[in-house]
Amino acid sequence: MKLASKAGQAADSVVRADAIGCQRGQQPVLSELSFAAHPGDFLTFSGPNGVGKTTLLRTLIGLNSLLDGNISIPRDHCAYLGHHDGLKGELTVAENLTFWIQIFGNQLPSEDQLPFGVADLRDREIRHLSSGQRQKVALASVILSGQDIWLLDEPATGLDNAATAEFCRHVESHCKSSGIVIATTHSNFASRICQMIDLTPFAVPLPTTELPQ
Amino acid sequence: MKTLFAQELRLSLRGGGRFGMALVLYFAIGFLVSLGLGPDRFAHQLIAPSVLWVGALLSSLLTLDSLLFRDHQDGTIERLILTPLPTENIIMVKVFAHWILVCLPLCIAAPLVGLIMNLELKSGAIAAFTLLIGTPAISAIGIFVAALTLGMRQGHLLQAILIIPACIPTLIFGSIGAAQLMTTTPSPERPLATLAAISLATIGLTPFASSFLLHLNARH
Repeated sequence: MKLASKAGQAADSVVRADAIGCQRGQQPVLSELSFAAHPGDFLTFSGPNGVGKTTLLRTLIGLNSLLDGNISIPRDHCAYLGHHDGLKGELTVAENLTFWIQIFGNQLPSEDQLPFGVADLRDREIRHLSSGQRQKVALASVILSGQDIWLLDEPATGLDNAATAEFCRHVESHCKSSGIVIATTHSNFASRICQMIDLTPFAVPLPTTELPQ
Repeated sequence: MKTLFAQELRLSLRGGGRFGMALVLYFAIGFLVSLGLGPDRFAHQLIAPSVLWVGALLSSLLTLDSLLFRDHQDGTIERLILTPLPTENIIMVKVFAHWILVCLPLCIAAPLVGLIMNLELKSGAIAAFTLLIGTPAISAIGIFVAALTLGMRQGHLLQAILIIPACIPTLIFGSIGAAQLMTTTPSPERPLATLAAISLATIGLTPFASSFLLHLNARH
């Protein structure tokens, strides 16, 4: 499947983190973490609940403040998908997709080029979809965005096996065209094709016995 | 930007008439004040400009909630401020859309509400004219306060408390301007010029201040 993609245009699209520390609320969660993602890399962060996967992703993109260290990331080449997907319940799948794709300066491709078979859902309202179907639409908005770097928080949540496999194929073809994919996951759905970074060694132990939020 | 504006229009049309509420409230205020005032027709004419202004202010504040809050809750803001699109443009589109969808209908309805207040159609049109000049400030201040209180636990309460004093200058110059224009007081252009200045200044400053706030807000 060929998608309209700007991938590969920016040779300097390198994501680099240098001995960074992250915080959630006022609580430090990760420290001394370094990594780099070059064009063609598929990086996943794994670890148990509460270790700071989402926090790390949000810190990378600039939604959380950095505790220490350095991050370099070309933000204008990123497409981010967090826990809240930014889809409007009262609008249809096609309207939501068109909105997000046009925001990135692209046009909605023809029906047979839509990933995950979302073409079949195009006139349904988002609020009437299952969470798996909704996740497919959200992922499609990132895949079709044409951005170099995808930052995805738990992308495979709610996806069935076929959709997970299709998602892996999209990631592979994006990486082949010099894109970068950085994702968090607690499952190893993509262990075959990704470089997995386990965050457990970088976790900052909690000072008290309080449960993390 | 066209995409954003189209999205705002589409959402307001599908949103189950949230924006029609402002219009209904506007008529209700005019109607109830008129009933409460009794049959004194001079009293009506005396306070009509103020009622038209206070009514428009309260009615448009009703829709403030939808300006940013829903976008914040469903993650739209978070994703939007991370796109290459300048956040200032996003805010500008939102102010413009709010004005078109909420304030413009109120301005058009003002002469009719004026009729309820025993105001001649011509005087009503004058009030509508001052509203046209002044309401952009309400939209702009509204989005600024919405951005300021976004994500706070008591955000709604704080928003209501902050917005009222922030709109007072607009209200004062607006209703004085309307009253003076109706009674042909010498130099009625002074309050109107001030009103226009407030509108222009808030429209000019709000996008930058609000976009700074949104970025700050997202980071916690």
